[in-house]
Amino acid sequence: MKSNSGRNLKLGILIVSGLIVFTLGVYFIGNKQNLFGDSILVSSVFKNVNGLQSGNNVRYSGVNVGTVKNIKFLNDTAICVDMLINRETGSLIKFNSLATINSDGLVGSMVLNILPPDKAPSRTIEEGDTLASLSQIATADMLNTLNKTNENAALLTEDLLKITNSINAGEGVLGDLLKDEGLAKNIQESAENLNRTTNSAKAGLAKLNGILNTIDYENSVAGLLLSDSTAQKSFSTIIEDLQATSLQIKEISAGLGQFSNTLNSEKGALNYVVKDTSFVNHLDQSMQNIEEATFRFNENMEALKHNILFRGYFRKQERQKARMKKENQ
Amino acid sequence: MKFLSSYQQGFNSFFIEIGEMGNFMGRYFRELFSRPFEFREFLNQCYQMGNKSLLLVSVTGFILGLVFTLQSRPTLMEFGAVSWMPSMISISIVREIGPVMIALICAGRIGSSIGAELGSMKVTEQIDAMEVSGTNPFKFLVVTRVLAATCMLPILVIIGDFVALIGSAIIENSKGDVSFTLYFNQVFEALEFTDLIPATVKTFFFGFAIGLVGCFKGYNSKKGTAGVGKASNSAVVFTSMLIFVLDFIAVFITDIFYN
Amino acid sequence: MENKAVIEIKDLYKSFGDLEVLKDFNLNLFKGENLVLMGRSGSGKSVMIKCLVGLMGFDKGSIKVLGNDISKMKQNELDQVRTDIGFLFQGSALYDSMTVRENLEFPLRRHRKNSETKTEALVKEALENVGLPQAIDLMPAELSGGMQRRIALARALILKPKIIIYDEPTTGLDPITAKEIILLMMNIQKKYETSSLIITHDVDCARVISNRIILLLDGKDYAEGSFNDLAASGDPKIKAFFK
Repeated sequence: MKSNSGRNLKLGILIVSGLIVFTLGVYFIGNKQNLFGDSILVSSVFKNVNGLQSGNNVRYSGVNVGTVKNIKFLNDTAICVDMLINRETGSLIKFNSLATINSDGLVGSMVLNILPPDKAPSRTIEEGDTLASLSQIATADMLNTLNKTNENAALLTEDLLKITNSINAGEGVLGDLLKDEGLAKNIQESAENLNRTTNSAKAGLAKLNGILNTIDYENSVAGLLLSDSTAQKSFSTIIEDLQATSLQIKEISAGLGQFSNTLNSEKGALNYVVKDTSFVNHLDQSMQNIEEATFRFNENMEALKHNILFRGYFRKQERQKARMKKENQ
Repeated sequence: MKFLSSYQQGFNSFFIEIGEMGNFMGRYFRELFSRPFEFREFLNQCYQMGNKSLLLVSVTGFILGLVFTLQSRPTLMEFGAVSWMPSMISISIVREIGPVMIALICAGRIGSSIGAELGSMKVTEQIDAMEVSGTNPFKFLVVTRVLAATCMLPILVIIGDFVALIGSAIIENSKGDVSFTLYFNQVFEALEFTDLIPATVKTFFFGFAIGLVGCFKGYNSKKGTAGVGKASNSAVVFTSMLIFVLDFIAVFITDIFYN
Repeated sequence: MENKAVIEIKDLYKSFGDLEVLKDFNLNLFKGENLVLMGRSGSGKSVMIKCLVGLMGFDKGSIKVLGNDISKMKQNELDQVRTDIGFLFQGSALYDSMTVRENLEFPLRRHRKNSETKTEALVKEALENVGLPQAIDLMPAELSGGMQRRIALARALILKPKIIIYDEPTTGLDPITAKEIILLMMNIQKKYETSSLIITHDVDCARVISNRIILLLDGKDYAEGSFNDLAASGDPKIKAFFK
């Protein structure tokens, strides 16, 4: 019996230790998935979740604060991601934080990152809240962009190579600059001349300064202009007159503006004339009518000339015209 | 023709054996749920299978973790992914290598011992003696052993997995300067219930297969010492094969349910 | 000797395919008697006793043990009847994963609701009856053939059965040990007043122990009588046994 109880004790120890290891395993795995702790359920809506799965980590400022619980389609363009966030850390996350989906390293699984707000922080998150989401480029997009950048860089270096080759071969202005010794000498000379000119200018300025210093403020015109108080008054009067004139001009232009406004408004006759298209059309029609009437009148007159009754009058007229012409000559 | 007929005979005998095993399993379940239950013998068998296999399982598990980590390190280092070691090792061990390796070891240790024990009991008329003394030998010998194997294998696998992870952590700690805390943190970071639960559930089936095949082969062994040897040997071979088949089915089912 | 039969076998027929092992075999074992069943190897003795204790089914005939027809019994009823039958196997059939004590406790724990001390006392008594009280904590593998046979006898007796069946009790033992076993069997028979069915081809054993002998030949109860009657028979088939 003794050996039996000893055996049972050892068996009991084995079974219990096995169960403890299993339970600890379950606990730690469950704990990582926030199954046992007090947690808050919040969600966020994305257009594309980039392969995010239930159980992926949720991070806030780089710290794991929860896990993705569920991912479901709301409609064809919106996917709702539910996440369980540890209540303790959840009390630090603001409602206006942004949720984004990123890759954990280049080959890592996806992670839901909650970014702290840029704006003034609002209240902290509560059960059932929906956080705003931010679509960020996925690794694939990033790689695509990187690929394009690489291609561009390759083209750029090719062009640069061509340019440097041309420069080395002495082609173009830069090539001349680098290769042509005469030009280099010219430039050098020019630089020297410039230097000399600057020096002369400097001397000239010094001289001018001296002259200015020696101006006779009392006797010369410049001195009068600069020092005489009456002249100063006249100047100020002139300036005042100028000011008044400019004010008047301003008023006139304002009046003109008003006039043109009135002109533009629908009430005035001029505007009626200018703006009303039907009126213009009528006018045009009337002009055409007048033109036609004149043409007909001319025709009538021509007919009258050939009439027996009026032929004598018109001949008399023509003879008188001819006589006048002769006298003038 | 002769070759063909022997081939056919082998084929037939295989299916006959499968059928007999099906009957044997049916009887097991009938006897399992009918009174009385041989609890003392069940505990005795649990002790024999669990405690007596613990050292073997622990040593094997430890070496498994050690070697697996050592062998995988250079490859992962080439990719610069050596920080993924704990995740990779833990998932491989917990999901697949641990259960299958430990089940195979137990098939060798437990399956062969059941086959040999029952075979020799059959040959030396001990099973008859038991029956004549008014004790149901199927209940006493088969039900207790199959149930004990079913219950003890998961425990052995859990402990074996744990020891393997310790072995792996030691290598990571000495070669990669990864602290035990970081190692196990990463292990539990990587593991999910979908890794642990199906892997544990399938070990019950592995244990059941080990116990059932061992008992079937032993209980039906032919007369003579050669029969005992054959029972023991075929119990191990058949169980090992069955473990892989069950593993395939388990992975298949897990795949359907979790992906 | 009383006339009440504890075992009645009538027209027992058993075949394995085309091989007829038992053909209308009849046997009656009366209370308190030692009946020896003699026969050549392969004559069906072992098959007969397996049918008798329900280890093997039979094709025709009937077997009654203590008035119960075993072919019509349920498993639990059969198990109950089996507790009244002690069986000494040819090879002892001790459970080799258990100690001698556990071997003897095995039937006790299943069929008698005794206290631990009572069980202990019964185990010791059974071992003293066979003269091996010192072997209590040994494993069967540590015992000699004769000792194993004695322990097996002790196990067969521990439930104080009404009938004991001995399957070749002296086979494989040296003559001295064989004699010891025979003496032991006789003592037990006297002490517990059991009815014994002894299967043997050991003539010495049969002479010493038997009240009656049945000869099993060609699947039938060929001859029946006391040792002296059969030994004096002129039938060459019978004579062959007693040479």
